[in-house]
Parts: sequence; structure tokens; C-alpha cells
Amino acid sequence: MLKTRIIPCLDVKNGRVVKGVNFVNLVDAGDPVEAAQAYDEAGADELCFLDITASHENRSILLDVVRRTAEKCFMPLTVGGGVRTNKDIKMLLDSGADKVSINTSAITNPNFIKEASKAFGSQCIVVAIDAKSDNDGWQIYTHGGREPTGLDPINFAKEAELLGAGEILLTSMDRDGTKKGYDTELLNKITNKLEIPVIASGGVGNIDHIIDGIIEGGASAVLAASIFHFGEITIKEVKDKLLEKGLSVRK
Amino acid sequence: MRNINIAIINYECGNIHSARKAFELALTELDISGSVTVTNEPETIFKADKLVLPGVGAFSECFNKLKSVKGLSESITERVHDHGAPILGICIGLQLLADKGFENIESKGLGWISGQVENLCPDDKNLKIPHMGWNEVNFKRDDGRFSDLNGEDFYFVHSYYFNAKDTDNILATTNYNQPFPSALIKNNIIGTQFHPEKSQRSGVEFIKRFLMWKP
Repeated sequence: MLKTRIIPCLDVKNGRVVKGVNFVNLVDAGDPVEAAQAYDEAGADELCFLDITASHENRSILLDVVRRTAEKCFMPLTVGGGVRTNKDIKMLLDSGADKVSINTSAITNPNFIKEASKAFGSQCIVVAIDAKSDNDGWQIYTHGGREPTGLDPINFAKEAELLGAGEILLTSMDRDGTKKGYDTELLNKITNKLEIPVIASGGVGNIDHIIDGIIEGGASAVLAASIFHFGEITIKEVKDKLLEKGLSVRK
Repeated sequence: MRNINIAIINYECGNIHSARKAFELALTELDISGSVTVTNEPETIFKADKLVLPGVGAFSECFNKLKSVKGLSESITERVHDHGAPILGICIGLQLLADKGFENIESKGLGWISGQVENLCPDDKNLKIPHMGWNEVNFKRDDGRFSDLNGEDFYFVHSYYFNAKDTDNILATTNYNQPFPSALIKNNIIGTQFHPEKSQRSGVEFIKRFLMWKP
């Protein structure tokens, strides 16, 4: 049986983990490669790096982090942040990323999803959607949640699937950082409509939220950052609890 | 212990970085001297003891890329068929061993293991395509090489599968609504739909068994 994936996400800026990772005794808590190895050993099913470096000129630093991580961790690695062209994707894949997550460029130019999936295969193209609720539904925001687009995330997710996306990473901007749980209503609407897997993101504060994301939201994978980084819960605790609930996880 | 030279065939179809590292780790853990070379040169392939055909992307594009490097597929064929060197196909590298594939367009394959590559379409509409993530691999036959990994989880990411014509060639199956062949074997040829190079401990253990395998 296919297992629900537990994915820690590390924000990386200029080659360093933002805020650091406190859950184990790391020599250098700011080194993404060391944090990645720790998560590898802790039983994470996949890993996600989100590059929030403002300048595109520092791309070589990220590529080096990806390369060193892929040499040490034999697990799937998704990298996102600032992906605008097929050349950006190729450089990340050549460095050792397995999947590339596209956010703003996918929303402003949906044709990019088609070009990218045609060139590299759907399996490595993740479309990241940041959504916020409004009066009578939700809308997509870009540029790190600053720019409203007027686009409906449910319809757009379907469009992305038809254009060749292999997976959707759905982040609720309302919930992100609140520890109130995933937006399971939006998740559910999207997972019901799509054939491709959806990763839930934004808002996890405890293990019950993760369970809700899977059961109520229908997510194929759950992503979380701070609760793992700060050692509030371990991946093992999550997996034990999921097993207790009859959900399928990797041992 | 003797030296094992491993050639990972590079035909511009996906990330081979972690494959190289995983094979290097497997050699180290087995305490075998040897080398892991990423190559598309026939001379290197002729010298290799074990070959690896990786691959991600679409079937027909990968097949065309493999064929587009002058002398490459001929050298692999000669090394595998005439000299008996063991080869491991991974993901698309497995699928290319089939007679033909149907991803996007109908396309010819190498035809080394009979069967065709077809769309995975689970009846249960709750099951997502691609089949992405960790799933159990049930090794069917006990050849004393791989079957001790029976029931371990490996990492998959694919929308098509190898529908083998001859069930004798099925080494392992995996359930996604219904069982599909997740590893195939024929003489000195083996292939996995899953990615051993992305499957953490289980993956390295599988690679070690491939390196020790004497068909």
C-alpha cells in the first residue's frame, strides 16, 4: 500500500537554514546539509528546500547545497524558490534535486508548466499554490503571498494538472505560521478534483492537524516546518500516531 | 575480493548524481574496491563489470536519446548479451527494456524482456496518478539474492508500468489497487520500477545485492 509521506521543509537563505534546526544535537544547526542528514536519519520520507534568497546571483550557493545533500541523503528532494525558466530547472535537477517546485512563474505564465513537464517529465514538476480565503472562496497570491491574482486555487490546480504538473503543493496563507491546522476545506475541494497527488502545507501545530490533513483533506503528503525544526514533535511520533489511526506510513 | 567497475549510463535522461553516490556507498559497505563511472562512451561500457541504466522522463524521448548517442546502445547490447555483464535498469531504464511503450505515443523499446509499458489506471479513483511515494515491494521468487528484502518499502514515481508477457520474468510486485510488476529479471538483466538510489537504507541494500549478484 502506498504510504502517506511526511515531508519536513527547510527554508534556505544564502545557503543557510533560516532560524536553524533545534531538534537534534547538530554541530552547525544552520547547515542545510547537516539538517537534511538528520531528517534522513529521523525517517523523513522526502525533503523540501525552499530557497528564499532574494538575489538570483547567489544561485550557485543553493546548487552547491543541493549537490552536497544529494550526495549524503538517498531520499527524494524537492527544491523550490525562484524557479523561472527551464534552465533553472535543469540546473537544480543536474545538481541532484528530484523535483522542482514552481510558484510565481507557474501562476503568471501557466504555459511554463507545460514546457517544463514536457522537457523534464511531469514527475519532477511540482506546482506550488499559495492560497488565502476571501469573501466567497479563496484566491491565489504570488510573490511570497504579497500579490493577489484573482485566480481561484481550485480551478487553477486543475489547470496545472492538465498542463502537466505531477504534484501540487498547496499552502494556506491564512494558516501558515498560525499552528491552527491545515485548511482542510480547501484541501478537500482540491484533492477531490485532482488526479495528481497534493501536498498539504501551512498551519501544522500538532499531530492531529496532520491527521486531519490526510483524512479530511485527502492529502497524499504532509509538509511541515517549524514543529519539526523546533523538536516539538518528531517524525517518529507522527508516524506512530498515524499508524494508530490506521493510516499507512513507512516504517 | 576482486574489483568491480560499474558504469552508469548517461544519456541525458535525468539525475544520475545520487545514483553514482548510492553505488559508491554500496561498494564501500561491501568493502569491495572498484569504480563508479558515469559514461556514454562505448569503450568504458566494454570495460564495465556491471551496468546501470537509469532514467526519468518520457519513454519515447528517453529511447530516442539513448539511440542518439553514436554506438551507445550497440555497446550496451554487446556487453550485456554477448559478454553477459549484468545490467540494472531503473524506472524508465527498466521500461526501455520492454518491446514497446505507450507513453504519449507508441514507441519501440529495446525488447530485452517481453512485454509492453502501459498506463497505470487504478479503478479506485481516490488513488492518485503518478504513483508517487513509498510502497512495499513483494519479491516473488527466492533466488537467494533479493528476496530477503521482501516487504521493504521503496520509493516510486511513475504513471506507467511494465506489463510483462512472461510471468517468469517478474521478480517482484507492488500493490497499487492491484499488483503490478515492480521488478523484473531475465538472465543477467534486472530492472526496477522503484528508485533504489532514492530509497534510503532499503535502496542501498538492494544495490549491494545487485553488485553481489552472479546470474
